Amino acid sequence: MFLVLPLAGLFLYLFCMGEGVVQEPIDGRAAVLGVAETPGSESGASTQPRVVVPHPDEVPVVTATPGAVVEVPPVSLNYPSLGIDMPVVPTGVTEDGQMEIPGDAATAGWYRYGKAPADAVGHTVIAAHNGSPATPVGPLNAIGDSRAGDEIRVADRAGHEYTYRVMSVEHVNKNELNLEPYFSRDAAPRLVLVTCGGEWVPEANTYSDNVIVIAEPST
Amino acid sequence: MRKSLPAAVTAAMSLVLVAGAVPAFAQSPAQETNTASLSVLHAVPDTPVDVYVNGELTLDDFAPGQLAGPLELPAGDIEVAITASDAQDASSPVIGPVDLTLGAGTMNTAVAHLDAEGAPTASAFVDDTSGLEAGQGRVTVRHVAAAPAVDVWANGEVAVQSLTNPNEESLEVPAGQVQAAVSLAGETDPVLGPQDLAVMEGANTIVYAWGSAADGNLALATQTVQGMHSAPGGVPTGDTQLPADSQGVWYVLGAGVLALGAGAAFLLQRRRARTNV
Repeated sequence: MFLVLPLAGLFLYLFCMGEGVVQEPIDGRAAVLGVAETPGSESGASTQPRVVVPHPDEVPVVTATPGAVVEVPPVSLNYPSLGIDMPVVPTGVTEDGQMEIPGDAATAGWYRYGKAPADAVGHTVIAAHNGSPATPVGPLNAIGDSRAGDEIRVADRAGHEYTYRVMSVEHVNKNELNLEPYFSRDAAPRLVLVTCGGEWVPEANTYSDNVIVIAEPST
Repeated sequence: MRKSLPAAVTAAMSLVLVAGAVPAFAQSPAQETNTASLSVLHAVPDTPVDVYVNGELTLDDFAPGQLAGPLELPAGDIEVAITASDAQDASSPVIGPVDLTLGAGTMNTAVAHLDAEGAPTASAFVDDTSGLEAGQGRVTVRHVAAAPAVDVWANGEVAVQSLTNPNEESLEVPAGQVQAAVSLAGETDPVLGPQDLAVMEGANTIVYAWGSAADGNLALATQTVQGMHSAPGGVPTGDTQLPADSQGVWYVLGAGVLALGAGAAFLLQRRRARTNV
């Protein structure tokens, strides 16, 4: 009987804490994410395009040899107003089909199959754990406090530094999250930072939400 | 006794740095519903040619080993004729005319090549542009060489068995470097390679074995079709509970311990009181 009160207090505390505040993106979502319009998506009558066989001078011709496109990887992430200054390493996909994340929250991963800061289109996705055994509170844990207009800088392997301005920050429950737009490779260029937040879900041993910051290149 | 091929890929490929632009030979699936994309590969050794589509000159002085396109054409039947590069018109083609059917919204590759016996011919392939899971690439192998059936090796193992001219086979594999080789079917000595092949993530890397075994000019050509990628299924960045989120636990537990202690002390007091009575 004497145990009930403290245990009840414990349960109440766990379920009440960490309520994720869902912030709406500053602009319409499509504009923030820079989602590309698909051809023929405009409303109205679509007329049959007149197709003619192209003139030989207009046809691209290349030698059919291997020529993989090489992305220049980002190497550091600097977000001065939140005190973030961390290294970035390329990461891929784990066996269960999720993005691979560096084990130590002090290091961020760049999704190597997506775009890089040097690319004219597409999203550069950088993610890190919000905490890990070696780094109990990771640098990226702070992005929940991002504000529109904050400056973020990313340096790449070629020695270039790219500057971005935050457009939006959102908390999205993982079960409701469609990641496709965030990982776009042909939309307008964006920097997308991802970590976890929301509530700790003990039975799943994870946090409930992804926290996502979207920033656009500064001119 | 099978000769073992090296399993580890270590040689670096010479790579082309592209600043933002999509290379001309890296194509994206056609979005229109009443047209189709057509690429053309010239895989007949030694002879530059002209290519006519529906009677119109479309490719001029097209050299062996070159890939042209993608051309956007009306879906349906087209007629392709291939002439010597100094021909005045399509009246005396060296290959064709052949009728090809282009399905609406598809990507296709027409290949001028030698058949298994060495005679010039043309074949059309539909390029597989179906979606790929994150981290995966597709490899399509097409046998368009004057050679008998071949085995295609990847990282020291046979990946495609007994492929004949003019057929193809596709595999989905993890993206990355693959050491590729081609041997005659059932043999282990390579007739092509081993050479490094970059399997691009979210893309179809199409590899052609072309040329003539008898003339000793067998070669590999590649063509990459992009745009089949998928986002990862999740970004698992929260598998460690932060101290701040677990500090509350300690406060409440601490309060609980105090409460237990207080309760125990109270009980002990009561017991002492009773026994003292």
